[in-house]
Amino acid sequence: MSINKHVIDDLPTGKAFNNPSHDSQSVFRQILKSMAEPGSILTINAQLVPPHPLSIATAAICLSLFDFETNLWIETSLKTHEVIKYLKFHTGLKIADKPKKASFCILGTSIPSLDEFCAGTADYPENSSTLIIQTDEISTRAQLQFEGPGIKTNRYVSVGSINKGFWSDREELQSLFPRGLDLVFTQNNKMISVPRTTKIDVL
Amino acid sequence: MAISNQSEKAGNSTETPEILEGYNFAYLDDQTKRMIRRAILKAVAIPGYQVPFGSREMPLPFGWGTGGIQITASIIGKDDILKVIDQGADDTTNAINIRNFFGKTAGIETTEKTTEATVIQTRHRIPENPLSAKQILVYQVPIPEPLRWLEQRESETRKMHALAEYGVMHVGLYENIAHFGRVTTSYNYPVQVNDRYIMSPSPIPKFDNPKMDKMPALQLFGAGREKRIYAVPPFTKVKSLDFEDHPFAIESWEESCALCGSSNSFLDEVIIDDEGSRMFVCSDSNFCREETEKIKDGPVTSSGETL
Repeated sequence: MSINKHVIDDLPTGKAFNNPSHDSQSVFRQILKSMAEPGSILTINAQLVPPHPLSIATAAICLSLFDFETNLWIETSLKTHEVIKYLKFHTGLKIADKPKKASFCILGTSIPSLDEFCAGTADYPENSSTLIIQTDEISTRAQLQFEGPGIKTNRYVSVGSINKGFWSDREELQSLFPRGLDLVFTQNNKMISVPRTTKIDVL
Repeated sequence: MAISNQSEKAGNSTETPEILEGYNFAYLDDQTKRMIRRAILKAVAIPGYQVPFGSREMPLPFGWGTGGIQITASIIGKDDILKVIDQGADDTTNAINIRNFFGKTAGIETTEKTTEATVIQTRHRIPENPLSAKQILVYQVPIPEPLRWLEQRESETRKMHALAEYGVMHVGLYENIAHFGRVTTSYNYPVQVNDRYIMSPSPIPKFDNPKMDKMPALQLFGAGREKRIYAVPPFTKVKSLDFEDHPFAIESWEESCALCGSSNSFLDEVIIDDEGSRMFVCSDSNFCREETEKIKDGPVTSSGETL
């Protein structure tokens, strides 16, 4: 029957959490640890099969944190039909048409100007976007030096090659604190978080 | 009785109560947990800033730690070991009930040992044993806004935080010095986090304030009635407000603990008879027990009697 066929066509491919409640919790704790310890490399152990080009870590963050209250903006190169179907089916999130309107954004390494994103207001700095950036490298290679809250002295990591000007734009944005953008870099099942307070030196 | 059982089983994992059927893991539904989790992440990203959240009705009244419970419920997992303290003690009504609540709704392991716990929910104290990077400290907060005593309007305090306009706070402390010759605030002593937001440390004694500075554990604060969550990430600067000529100082006692003899822990004064005799004992019950166990002949009162 045509109605049933429609329903089956709507089902996403791939695989989400085995146990949504417990898996969301353990993934959240990894995200929390990563946000509390900027520059630490955290690994997600969830048995996920996300649709291409979502990485396991990106998908796990989405499944753990998103629901009908979250607006997500996805950069065009990652915004496939399958990705939207997967995320909508498993979380019920809303897709935003502009990055300014989104509470979370999923991006690749060519990041648009940071002015495009919502950095919150001085009164309500929490109304800012969190950027989930899929990159090709997350390692302890000393490319960036992290300093700030959550870091005892400093940490050295690499998050791959991000487009030119990104780190200086971010540094400029930091002068607006408490307004700002929180970043989560993901690659395969690894992630590194960079909250707005972290001071970064490009080595 | 369960209560006397627990104090006899000193220091061991407490009895796990029967798990209640029909509730989600750790009581709260998953949509609520996600909302709280998103608020916690923002709180960690903006140290000391109070993030509003949709605080839920809990099966106990506001003022009994509903903020802390909602945070604990949102972060805790099957493998966590929970410790709950109330004024430093593991064996008071509030602490026992919250521990049983999570035992019943999450079936997780609970403990009284500070070093064993992965999540510690606290009302009004920071444990004496130093916390590690593997632990999370969850505070129950009654009034999260440190400026509220000086400015009642939320619209104004929000502006003051936005502009880091904190002069009034120092004027408040100055007036205190002008009246009494010293800062008389002994608990809920305001702190500045990472040189930016002024934050209420919750009603911990100022004795505990220095422990917050550069603490290796993540500190989360939940105010259920006031609907606010805030946080201090590990290794973050937390400075108690003071003046150059009136530096911040913590309480000290001439006595040492009558049970364990410790002279560097926070002491409670306890009246022990109708004549007004008193003894000083550690407020941190687990710390005191561990110290007492180190003494060969058991606890000794100040008059030299063995208890």
